[in-house]
Amino acid sequence: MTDELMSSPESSSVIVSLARLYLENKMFDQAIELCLSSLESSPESEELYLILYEAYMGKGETGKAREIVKKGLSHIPGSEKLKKLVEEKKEEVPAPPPPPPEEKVEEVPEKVAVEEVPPEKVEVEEGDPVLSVLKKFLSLKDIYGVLLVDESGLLISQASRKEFDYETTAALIASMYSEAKDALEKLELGGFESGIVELPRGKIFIFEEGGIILSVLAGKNVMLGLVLARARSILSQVKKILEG
Amino acid sequence: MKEVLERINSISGVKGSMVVGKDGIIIESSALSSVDSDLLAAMVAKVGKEMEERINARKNFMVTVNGEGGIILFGVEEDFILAVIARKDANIGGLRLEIKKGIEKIKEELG
Repeated sequence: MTDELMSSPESSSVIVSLARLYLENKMFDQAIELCLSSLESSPESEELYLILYEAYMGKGETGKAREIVKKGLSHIPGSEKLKKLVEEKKEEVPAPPPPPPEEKVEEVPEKVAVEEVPPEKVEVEEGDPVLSVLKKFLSLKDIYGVLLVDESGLLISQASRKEFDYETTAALIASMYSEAKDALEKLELGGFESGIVELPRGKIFIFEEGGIILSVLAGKNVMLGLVLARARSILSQVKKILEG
Repeated sequence: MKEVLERINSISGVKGSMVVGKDGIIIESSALSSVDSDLLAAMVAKVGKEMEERINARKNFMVTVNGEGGIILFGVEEDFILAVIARKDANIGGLRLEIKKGIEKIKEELG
């Protein structure tokens, strides 16, 4: 169906709407995939570059976001919106959470050379220590996946034995966390420590520390106490790495 | 139903328990002197609804939320929610079992 949509010029607004919908639901990978495919037939669609920019920013991939704006300007040199994004990036002062390493690279002049390294490479290097800590969790029996998410629902890292939609799951986990945290506050039961959702086919664990949410997806027979005991230590280790 | 709640309340650390409709209205409650029971009912229904939507399940799941100052546990069924509020030092293992048993009894009663 997507191929048919893309082959028809008048359907570009449908593609843009669909991509926007993905974006609103924090399904950044799907938005990116759709826009990149669509750009092959419509390289002069300003809207597609703008969505791609937002999607990459949503994923914390600022290098790719910058690149796509540049690419857009090479096709549409007169685009005021794209020019504005380039200007904003130049003037940009450190953004709020989460602290993506790439933004620091932009601020420190001595590290400018690092910018020449493709963004993907930087991310892999930064992600590895976190990933190895998350993978320790997978060694426990009946654990299927571990996700690290920020409070706004953006995926920081993940390790899993099964393929699933990580971005969407991250957003859902953050949403559940937010609701539980709100209930605790209203009932004057203090800050959120952890949450467990037990379903007939499995369990979802949610832990939070300093704005970082760790979620563990497990089978129905997993030992609750074991997960609870290990999760705090894993979360502390991850937090140290991210801060370090 | 009252009997189920009283059994739950007899577990060490439990502050109170209640059966709530999915709309947040209390069906039955027991020993909640230190807790705003209407607020708890509303919160449990709200969190339950959020979970339902997120995990795409309308019944047969249990939620435990641990706060720094206490714990909320609730089991969600088709027409009701059995909710318990407890201190941090409560016997959570025993409580979970009692909630599961209680849910079955209430299902039979409402049956």
